Amino acid sequence: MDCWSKLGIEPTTNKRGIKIAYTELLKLCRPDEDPEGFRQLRKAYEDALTESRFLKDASHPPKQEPDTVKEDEEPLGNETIPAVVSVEEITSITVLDQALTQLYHDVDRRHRKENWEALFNSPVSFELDHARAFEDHVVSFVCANNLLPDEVLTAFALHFRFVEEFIRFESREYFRQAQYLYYYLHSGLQRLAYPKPEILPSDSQAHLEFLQTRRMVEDSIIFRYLPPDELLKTYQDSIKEDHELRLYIARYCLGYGALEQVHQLLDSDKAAQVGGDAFALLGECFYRQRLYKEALQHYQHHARLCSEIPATTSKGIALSLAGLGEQEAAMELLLQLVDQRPHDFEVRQKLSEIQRQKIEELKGNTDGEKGLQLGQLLFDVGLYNECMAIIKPMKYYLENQSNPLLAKCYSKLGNYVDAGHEFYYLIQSARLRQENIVDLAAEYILCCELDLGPNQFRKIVGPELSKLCEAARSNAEYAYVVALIYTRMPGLLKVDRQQEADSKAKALYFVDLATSLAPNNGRYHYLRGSLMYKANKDEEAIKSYEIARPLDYADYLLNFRLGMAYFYTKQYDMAINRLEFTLGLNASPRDEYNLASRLIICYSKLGNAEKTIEWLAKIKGNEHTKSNFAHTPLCVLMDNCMHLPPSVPRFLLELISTLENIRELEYKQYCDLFLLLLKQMGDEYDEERKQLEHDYNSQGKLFSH
Amino acid sequence: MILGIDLGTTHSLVSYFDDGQPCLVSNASGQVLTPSVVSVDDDGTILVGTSAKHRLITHPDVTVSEFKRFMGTNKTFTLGDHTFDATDLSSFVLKSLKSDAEEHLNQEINEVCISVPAYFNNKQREATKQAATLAGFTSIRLLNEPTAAALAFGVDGRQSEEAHYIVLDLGGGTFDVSLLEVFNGIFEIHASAGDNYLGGKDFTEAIVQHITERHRLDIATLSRQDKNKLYKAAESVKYQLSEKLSTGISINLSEAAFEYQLDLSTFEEICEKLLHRIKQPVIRVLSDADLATSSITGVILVGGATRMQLFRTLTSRLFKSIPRSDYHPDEAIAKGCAIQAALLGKENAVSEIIMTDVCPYTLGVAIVGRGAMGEEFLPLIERNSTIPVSESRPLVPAHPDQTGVTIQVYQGESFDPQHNLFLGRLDIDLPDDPEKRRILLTYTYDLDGTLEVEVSIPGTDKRERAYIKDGEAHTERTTGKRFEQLKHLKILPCDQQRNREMIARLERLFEEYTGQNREYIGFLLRHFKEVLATHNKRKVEEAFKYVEEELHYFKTRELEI
Ligand SMILES: Nc1ncnc2c1ncn2[C@@H]1O[C@H](COP(=O)(O)OP(=O)(O)OP(=O)(O)O)[C@@H](O)[C@H]1O
Ligand SMILES: [Mg+2]
Repeated sequence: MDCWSKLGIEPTTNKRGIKIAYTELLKLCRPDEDPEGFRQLRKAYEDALTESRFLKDASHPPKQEPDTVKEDEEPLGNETIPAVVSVEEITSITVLDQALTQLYHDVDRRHRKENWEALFNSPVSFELDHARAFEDHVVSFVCANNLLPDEVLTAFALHFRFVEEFIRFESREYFRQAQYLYYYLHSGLQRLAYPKPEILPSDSQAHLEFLQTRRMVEDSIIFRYLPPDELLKTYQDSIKEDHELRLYIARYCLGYGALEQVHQLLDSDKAAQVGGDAFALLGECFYRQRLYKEALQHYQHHARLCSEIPATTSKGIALSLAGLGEQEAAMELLLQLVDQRPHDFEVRQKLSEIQRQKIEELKGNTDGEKGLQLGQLLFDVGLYNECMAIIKPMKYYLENQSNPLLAKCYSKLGNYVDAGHEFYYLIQSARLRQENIVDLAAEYILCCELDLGPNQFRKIVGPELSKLCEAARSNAEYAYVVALIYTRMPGLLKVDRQQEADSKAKALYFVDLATSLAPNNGRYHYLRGSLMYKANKDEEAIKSYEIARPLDYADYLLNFRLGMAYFYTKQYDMAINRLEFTLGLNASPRDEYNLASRLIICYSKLGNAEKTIEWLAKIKGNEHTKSNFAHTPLCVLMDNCMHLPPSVPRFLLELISTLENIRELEYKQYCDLFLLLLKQMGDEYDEERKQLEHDYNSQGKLFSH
Repeated sequence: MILGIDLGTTHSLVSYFDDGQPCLVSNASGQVLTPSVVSVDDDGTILVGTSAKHRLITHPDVTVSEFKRFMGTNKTFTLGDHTFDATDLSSFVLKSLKSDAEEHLNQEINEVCISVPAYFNNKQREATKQAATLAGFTSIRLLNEPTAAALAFGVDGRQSEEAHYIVLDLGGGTFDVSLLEVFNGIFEIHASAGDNYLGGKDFTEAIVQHITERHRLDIATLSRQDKNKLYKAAESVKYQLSEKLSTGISINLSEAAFEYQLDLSTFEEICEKLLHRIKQPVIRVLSDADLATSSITGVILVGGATRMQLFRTLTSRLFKSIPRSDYHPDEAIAKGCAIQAALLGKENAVSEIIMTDVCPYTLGVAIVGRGAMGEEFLPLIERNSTIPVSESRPLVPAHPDQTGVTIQVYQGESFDPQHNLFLGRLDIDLPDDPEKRRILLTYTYDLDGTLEVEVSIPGTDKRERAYIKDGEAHTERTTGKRFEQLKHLKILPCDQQRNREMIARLERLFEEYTGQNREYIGFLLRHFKEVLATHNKRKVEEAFKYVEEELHYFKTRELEI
């Protein structure tokens, strides 16, 4: 048995995934209870971690090791030219900077990586607290001076573990640094496909290079910084034709609304060369220009090229058809699409537009097939009362057909009692006719999602549960229904802890099933997101919630949890997006406080002093700040502020000093540390420090009011 | 019931797990911290704790403290007619804690979980276990101190939150650093490092040295009492510098009396070397775990000496963050021991907690040098491997005609086995058949830190196994025999301790004060002793109260440490 099967996962390079598998299994063979089992598990885990590194290599087939510097080419000679600054003297970053610059301009010495390595080992680098600054500094130095030979770059990359740096920079949106690092990683370390140009002339050239190395990352951060026309121009200026990149830029331009540029990049001939979804892209471009005929052509052409038509293409076809006035065909397609993309606003809008037109046509019919059709349409566009008026007299007709339209109207109007009765009748009569009532039970659950009484649950759902489960295996909607049942079950029926845990596990299982059967369904993902969030699986929650978000952008709970999940997974900029948005959604003062304190942490983690202060100022007035400060312990906030300019901790200190329930000693420690911080900041803050020290010593308190 | 004990250099605590949480036991004088000090009374009774601590000044010849540093060594201490080693002394402390707990819980308890510095080597661990055996415990589990602190600290916060905490434990005599990762509800200790000979004591010593230099004293010629006074003064200066920026104290020695002033920045200067030593294990842990300081979620400080402003400043500088202060640095370890005890006892309340620990040293075997340069150290279990762990290696004899091999087990990091700690040896006869002259060496290191060495010869059913307990140090006397020897010693029973402490305290005060105050304390002392001799419970109680009230006046001036 190899390590992967022992861990129960497929071979993967995802370290987190391996770790999660390990920790889950660890709960089953604890080191104190099952030492042998644990030893085996641990071994599998460590092996997997090791193997995963090689897996990564396998996906990038090893390239030919280019000739390294030939031994005899350059006389080595030990005579290092005496530097103006000796390594021992480098005790501060400024001196280091001098030394780096000197070495850089020293044409004889800078080609030898030993000379650089000596700098890495200067005293300043050993200071734990300087180590980071030192690295940051070296990295920006490297980024600013890119004429170093690969060998030296490689030494840099190895020494400073640029891969991690890259991630760090990227998350901090130091995109320029990230970009260079990434570039160097590829040219200097792995020497991948793209030969390094002698000089990087302009920023956009660099962008392009960068793009080429990581285009697979959708919506790459670079785009935010470069206008489409410039990007286009750069691309056209470059000599190499690169289909993938062309398509990529076209897609980006389209997203930017730069339709002109899209056409410049792609015409039908080019699209045929480029392949991929170039035709769909062009289709969309035409559609936006209201050239429906061309749009339809291109979409249909794309559909013919695909073995399975992508939903976006069907949508394009449907919308183009509608644009051309072919309502029937459009509606048919749209109805299918609503199922596939329930959260697609455009689809829903178009559909209801067409449906309203049809309602106008059918108006006046009150019974029979046409009446039912009209009722259904009214229901679909959300005119429930009008629908009721037509179908209520048809009650028995509906019952005979097992048509839950009436019941659904009741539930839509919030009358769950009558809805429950209706469903019960429907189901009983269907049972008498010995029909399959799984569908009805499922409908019932879906309608009354929120208001399901235990009795109805037992009467209607209980007997069908096993059949539902059976059907769920191949039907996403049923899987969703079952997941809903299991989510609600613990609240509905009295269950013990074991049953509760079982329900939870089942809910997760079925919601996973539903989302794997219908990966784009927002409703399913909404439920999955909630379940994952509650199970503390933040990353999964994020995935699902992001898919569910278009369903209702202003959903408070979703935004709140999504923000928190981003926060917990340390994706601070994303967290800020969500949390600030949530705050705009009528948060209660208590939530407001909680959200704001997370925002403070986010901003401080991102090094944004201004915003940190801004939010600190906001919580200052909050009634919960006084009582709830302990929710985000002071030290956490303070901690997060210490690396920012002194104005931030100072502001926080002032805030703290207005609190009543703060312990004297704790407060004192904050003051001391703050003074210390000022001291470290050097002369610039001397005045301020002296003043504060004086206040502090005389009043025993800083900023006392 | 299983007890948890934090056996510290300066203080020890005992705890147990009840009602879903760890509880600390107070000793006879109502304190949870029992000083790790042992003294022999005039009648031969062994005194432990506060009463013994007072006698450090009054009866320095029959009192010892800070013996934890000598665990696992041959050093002996002579107290009056008796000679003890650190193991014996620790056993007295453990015994006294045991009886405190038994008194409190009203039942006999023989199982214990004792914390040791993570960086304790196997000899030191074994000595601790022996001490527990001598104290009458029958089932003993050891736990690393920072791990205990992490356990105690651990369970708060959102479980899914992935976090790395660094635990710094600067106690009286040892410094431990551990890195704790919380992931998916599991606590994993990643790496431990430390310095067994660095603690609050060394900072006191630095001050003592500063005093002697400044005032031209020769520590070697001072009387033992003066020396203790000097240490006591230095200790109190150190304490005060945890509270303010500068302080002064007047010191009265038999030969000289003077005022001594110290401020924080000078203190920092004179401790520069110590502060540098603190940095080393921190750097090592971070690099072993391959982590940058920026990925550290929080810094957890435990151990009394982390109260020093000096230390706090250093850590906040190193990590650019303020250490957590929402828990008690003295009690965290004892509480963690109680939680571990609950884990051992499979209590429901802790069934969710899983913690994995590491072995702090590399374990290996001496082999013939591959470069013909004498012996080499061949590691089997690398340091910071997650335990329990088991590793095997096939070995062949150096010479084809060899009929036996000697396995020499070492612990440490050095290439040269001589620089590592020798743990034990195992002699193996090899089979006659030269084809079969090869061995498979297996080391198994369990949760307790016990190393099992197994040698098997493939192709035969020969198997030798040894538990490496201690090196040669203790071989000349077995624990059982020592147990008999120590059994005869009387340790002051709990109910008498409070009164004994009062006498010790009065005696100490008598020496400290002069003039009228001194006379008055002499009077109190005489009075209390007389009442004690009557054995009248009620009267003793009254006298105790009376003396206590009188002393209250002195207390404001007395530096209780
Ligand atoms: N307020 C304080 N300021 C300075 N030092 C202090 C303070 N309180 C305690 N200490 C120091 O802390 C040390 C005792 O800490 P602690 O009780 O945690 O150690 P320990 O557990 O006995 O020792 P170890 O863990 O090393 O075996 C002593 O050296 C003492 O001087
Ligand atoms: Mg301790």
